[in-house]
Amino acid sequence: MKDALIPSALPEEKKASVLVKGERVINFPLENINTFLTNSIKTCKYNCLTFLPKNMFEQFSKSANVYFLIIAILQSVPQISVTGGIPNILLPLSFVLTVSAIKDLLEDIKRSKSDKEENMRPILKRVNGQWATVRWSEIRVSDIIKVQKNDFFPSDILLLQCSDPKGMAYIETKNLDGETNLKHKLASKETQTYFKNEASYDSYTGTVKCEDPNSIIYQFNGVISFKNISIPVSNEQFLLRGSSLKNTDWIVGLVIYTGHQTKIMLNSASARKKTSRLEGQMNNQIIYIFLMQLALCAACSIYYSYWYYHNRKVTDIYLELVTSGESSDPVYQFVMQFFTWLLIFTNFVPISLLVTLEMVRFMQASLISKDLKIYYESDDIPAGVQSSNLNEELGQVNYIFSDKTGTLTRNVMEFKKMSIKGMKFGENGHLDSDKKLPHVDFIDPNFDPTNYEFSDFIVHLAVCHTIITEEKDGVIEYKASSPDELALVNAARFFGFKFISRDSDQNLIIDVSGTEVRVAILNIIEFSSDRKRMTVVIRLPNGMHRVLCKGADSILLPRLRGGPYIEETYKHLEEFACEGLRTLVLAQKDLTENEYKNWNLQYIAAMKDILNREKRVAEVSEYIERDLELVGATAIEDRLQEKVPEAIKSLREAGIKIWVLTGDKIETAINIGFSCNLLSNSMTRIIIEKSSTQEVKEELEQGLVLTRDTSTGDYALIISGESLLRAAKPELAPILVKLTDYCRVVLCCRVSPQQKADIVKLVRLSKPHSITLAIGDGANDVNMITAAHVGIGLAGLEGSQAVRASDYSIGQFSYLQRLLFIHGRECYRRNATLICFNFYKNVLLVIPLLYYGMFSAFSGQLLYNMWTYQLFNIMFCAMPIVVYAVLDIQIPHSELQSNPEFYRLGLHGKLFSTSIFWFWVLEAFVQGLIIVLMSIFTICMTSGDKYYGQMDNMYVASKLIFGLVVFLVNIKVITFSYSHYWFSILISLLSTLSYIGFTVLLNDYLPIYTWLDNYDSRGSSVKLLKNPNTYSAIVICFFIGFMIHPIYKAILTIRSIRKLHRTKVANEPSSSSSSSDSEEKDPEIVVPEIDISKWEITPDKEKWKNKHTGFAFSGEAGHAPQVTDPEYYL
Amino acid sequence: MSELRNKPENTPFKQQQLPAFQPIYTAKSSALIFLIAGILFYAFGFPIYVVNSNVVEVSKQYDNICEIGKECTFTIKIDEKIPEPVFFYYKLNNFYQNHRLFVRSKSYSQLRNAKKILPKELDFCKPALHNKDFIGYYNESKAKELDPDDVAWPCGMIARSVFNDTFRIEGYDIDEDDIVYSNDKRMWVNENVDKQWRDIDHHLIVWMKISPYSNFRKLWGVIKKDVEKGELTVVVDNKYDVDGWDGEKWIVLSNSSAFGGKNPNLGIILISAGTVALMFALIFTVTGVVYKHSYENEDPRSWRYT
Repeated sequence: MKDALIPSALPEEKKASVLVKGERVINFPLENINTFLTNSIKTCKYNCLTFLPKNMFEQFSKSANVYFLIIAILQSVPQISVTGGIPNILLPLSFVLTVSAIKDLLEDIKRSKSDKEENMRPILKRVNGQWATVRWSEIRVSDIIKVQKNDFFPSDILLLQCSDPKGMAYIETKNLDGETNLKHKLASKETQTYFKNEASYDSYTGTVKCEDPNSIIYQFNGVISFKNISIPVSNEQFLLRGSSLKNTDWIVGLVIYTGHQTKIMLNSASARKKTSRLEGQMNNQIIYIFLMQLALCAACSIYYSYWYYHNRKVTDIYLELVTSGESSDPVYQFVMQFFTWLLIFTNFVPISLLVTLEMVRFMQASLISKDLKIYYESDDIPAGVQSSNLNEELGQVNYIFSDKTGTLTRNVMEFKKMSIKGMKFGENGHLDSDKKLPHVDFIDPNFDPTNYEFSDFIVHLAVCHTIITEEKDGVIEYKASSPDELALVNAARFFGFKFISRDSDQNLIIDVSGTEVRVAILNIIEFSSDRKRMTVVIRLPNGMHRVLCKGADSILLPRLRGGPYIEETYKHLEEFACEGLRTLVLAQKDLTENEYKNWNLQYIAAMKDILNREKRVAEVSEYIERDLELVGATAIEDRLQEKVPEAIKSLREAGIKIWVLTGDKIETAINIGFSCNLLSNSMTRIIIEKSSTQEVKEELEQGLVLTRDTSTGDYALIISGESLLRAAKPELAPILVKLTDYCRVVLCCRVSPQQKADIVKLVRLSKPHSITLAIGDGANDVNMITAAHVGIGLAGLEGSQAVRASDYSIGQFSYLQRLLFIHGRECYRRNATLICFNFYKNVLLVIPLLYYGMFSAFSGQLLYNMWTYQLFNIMFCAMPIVVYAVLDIQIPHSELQSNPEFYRLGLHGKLFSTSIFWFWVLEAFVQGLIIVLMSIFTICMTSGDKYYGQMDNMYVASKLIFGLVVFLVNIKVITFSYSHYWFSILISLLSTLSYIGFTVLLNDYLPIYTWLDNYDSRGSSVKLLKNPNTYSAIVICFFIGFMIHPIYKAILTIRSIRKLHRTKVANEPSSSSSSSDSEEKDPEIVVPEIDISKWEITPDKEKWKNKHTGFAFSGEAGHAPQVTDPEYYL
Repeated sequence: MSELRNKPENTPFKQQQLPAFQPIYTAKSSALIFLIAGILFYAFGFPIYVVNSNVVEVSKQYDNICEIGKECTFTIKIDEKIPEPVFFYYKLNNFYQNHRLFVRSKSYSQLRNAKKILPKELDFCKPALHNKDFIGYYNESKAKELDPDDVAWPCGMIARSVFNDTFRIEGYDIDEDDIVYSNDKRMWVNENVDKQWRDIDHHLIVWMKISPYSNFRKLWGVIKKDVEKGELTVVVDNKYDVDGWDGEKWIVLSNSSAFGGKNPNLGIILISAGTVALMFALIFTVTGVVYKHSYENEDPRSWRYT
């Protein structure tokens, strides 16, 4: 991890020079059409020809399959074979391989289907002088394509021309970097004018020189040459696949990179295969079991060698142990015997476990995707499962890393409340949709917009912004880079001040109840994250000059002249902020004409100073942005997705830590923290946003000291991406991790996609036993999604980058609760049991052979018929556990959903650990012993026949032992099931009967063949069925199989009740066990102990204790150059 | 949205709402289950135990009182009358008939007199494949007269070591024919008695039915009338030497009940299982009563996830 963090610390340029070699030269029209890749993408693994070899190679890279292959080879060695040289393990092995292969095939078909869907999307391409609709896959480098409004770019293209006469195109890159602001791209003047006539596309020739395909998203440099002119092109003209065209009717572009060479595809790291923790634990247990098997083989062989050494002479008369050609050396005997026992004990490693698990997960996954309660009806999105092998991981999640935009929020800003002259307006309800304007959700019958008192406020809303309009079919559309401004302007419209357009003289036209009013915009000093305010100087129709300023309360309050309402307004801001609303303070000041003229001269001078423009403009603006008069405050709601706060609350109650990672600003993140109930004003917010290592270190240490003092309530850590970069360095990481342990909430702001992944990796590394889950919706979350143990993609209407990289996809954040609490928990419970049970049943199958060794001098007698032995896992005892693992319900789903306590089962890994696993194995050892003793000492010891007196032979005993094993195993499934369906009982019954049927058929009806191994045992099954003692044995084994479980559980119950009883007597009755659970500290902190007592740091509590006032504003400079171009003011 | 193509179907199976029986184990229901189990076990256990204890079984070791190669006479004391049919068993101790190499040492096809015998199958008979391999072992007499390089019929170590003592009881007929199931008789066929070193007779069939133990008894004959109380004189043609491997030879006389020969184990196990079940029924009842209050407040499933 530490290595992974370092590259991201490198400046982008440095990386670029390292990564980009070579140059791509594109001549157009292209002479050789095959020079470059096509635009079709292919993420599926196989085709018809490669499927078999590739899949078999993959399957045999699993050690278990190799193990069974080796067993098959050993089985064909006659000296050690217990199956007469027939490698009959190949029967279950080929079954297992076939099932996995079919599963792989189905999954690959799914992938190729989604590839096809993507490749089939339509796009306009210039062919023979007209625009023809072609598929995405048919696009090639150097094609000319036309992209319509709201469409996605099919490949990386170079912008040549766009519908806007100035060459400006707006794009949305939400899918790439998660930023929701529209970005603008600018066609170069030459191309924009040259291609004005569409026909010129058909005759042009030229070249483009650019970099070879590379993964650096924000870099592109090249030169386009045609008609003897060379035009440099850069990122400004470069449009990426994955982004979409907004607010622009169409663009025409030249295809530069296609298919897998596009930047987005180069960025999507091939998803590594994730395995669940349960599976990892299981693999460890397989190794232990295998070691146990080897030890048992060795023990049996040692005993045999010893017996052999003492008996080889004396038993000669009936048993010639030394046959010709074989060595009588006990060591040789040991080796041969070892392999014999290895063959007998083969099934200690359950052959069908992996395939059963995969099958079960596949079915679980299909049930997840069929769940109506996590189906998002308004967008028609069901839950999706991309990698079903993580089902049980969902039940053990410790950390959730959530993206903000699009995940927690809908990315819709709505004007909600305001404060004017110390009065608060706006109620909590929602507007009916018919009355509603976009981006406004304001209800308050007490507010009268026509009241003269409020007109200043509304004018402020209508005038102070950088929005431009476009009229289309009589409808005015606002084009804003900032969703906040969109909400404000729409609010003004809602109150009767409709912003219509800007005219060419920099007048703003506002429709005030039918009359057009022109307001001259004199200057705009734009918003920036440093200034945290925006100022507009206007001239009102009556000739008055006025400064309008909006911005953060912390910035504007010191600049206010002082007035009657400041205190109330501030209180309102706090109230708004607590609800998670984004606030802005509005202020204004009237200027006299002289004042303005003087100031404007200075301003123009500052603008002209190209070298120090920013600094001087800042100085100049300070001059008018003071002594302002408070107009009011606005509160905008960043609408959350449905039921997000409730879901977050439940998830946290279950003991899951939730971190919000967002590319947004700190203010926005804090606001969302409030609206999601992650933050409250009683929490101390530790905000770390410094950018030098030393400062970050100091802040971290201060925070850590502070959090030690638990009396001051809960803590929240809010850290910016830049600080995080420093804090995640190896020397500071332990402090950071420690600090996050003490904070109930962690918010990371302004983090890049790579940093999101690095945070996840940091947690994974410092908490190796924790399971992380990342949830996000955009391409900027892809890194995080692939880095986490479980990645969840939110499927939206647009973009499927995150979904494709994810393991699971859902339509709403709140569905996460059901996905984890019900599907995750139950899958964990069932799969953990499935794994234990699979070992249990195989141990129970094999262990009688060990016990029987005591009666047969450990000579390696394979008691069972070799075919029934192999059919055990694929027929007699295969189905009941599958039904269990797919359909068992422990606790009604409604209860699971509403009570987070139940989730702790998986969170604390209660169902699978080394001790639990070996308890199951131990149970099998005990039950196996009982089975053998029952059969050997009660059934075959004396004759079971009243009239014939024949003694039962070894094959009768073998049928009985095997039958009891099958019986017990199938009963066992019923005993640990919580839900019994008619068909689950039936399947258990049929499975048991299938053994009886098969063994009767084999031993009494099938013709006798050596390879069937049914000569000696002829008649044994019928004989067994006629013996009444068989049924007594079954009843007793039923008791053992059925009663051990409740007895064990009963003991636990009694113990827990007694404990409860005791604690109730000792404490107040209110102290429930759950509270002690939640205080439970993570036992797995590997962070070295940091001795804080030695630090001489007194944290400045006040620094972090201030009230939250909810300022947030999204927007950046330069989005409306027409409006802000200084040229206009000269 | 008029068309919801991806909407999952609302069926009980897909929504996991199938009707299910979901028992919750409480103290009450557990007590009931154990009570029923206990009663059932007693109901089975006692009759089995009683019936079994009525079976009479008498046995006597004779390899230590008889000399090898000679006819030998000894007596057994019968304490009570044994009702017919009385089964006459011989019993061998410390004989690993179930040894892997021993068990496989035979040829199925040969014993069934199949038309074609694969050489590979005969290999399993080694080291008792040819007539010459039989010299020096039990039953060698007739094998000596046959071509030493011919495949022995029947071959294999099991057949070679067939038990060849014979018994007579004074005053009683021992029926040696009725000791094999008709099913088995069909499967074991003599081919050409002249070429065989031994008849494939009923004693051989019984012998070749491998016993699961190293101390085992095999049926030798049936006395089809009641054996009266008193002394029984047994005459043995004592040919089978067990001294080499510290073995023992016994004879066993026993009748049989509906639940087989004399074997109290099953009854004892059932009765003790029943006792355990009743004990737990009691414990659950007590728990239910004593901790009634706390139990009611607790979700009865709580112990499942603690």
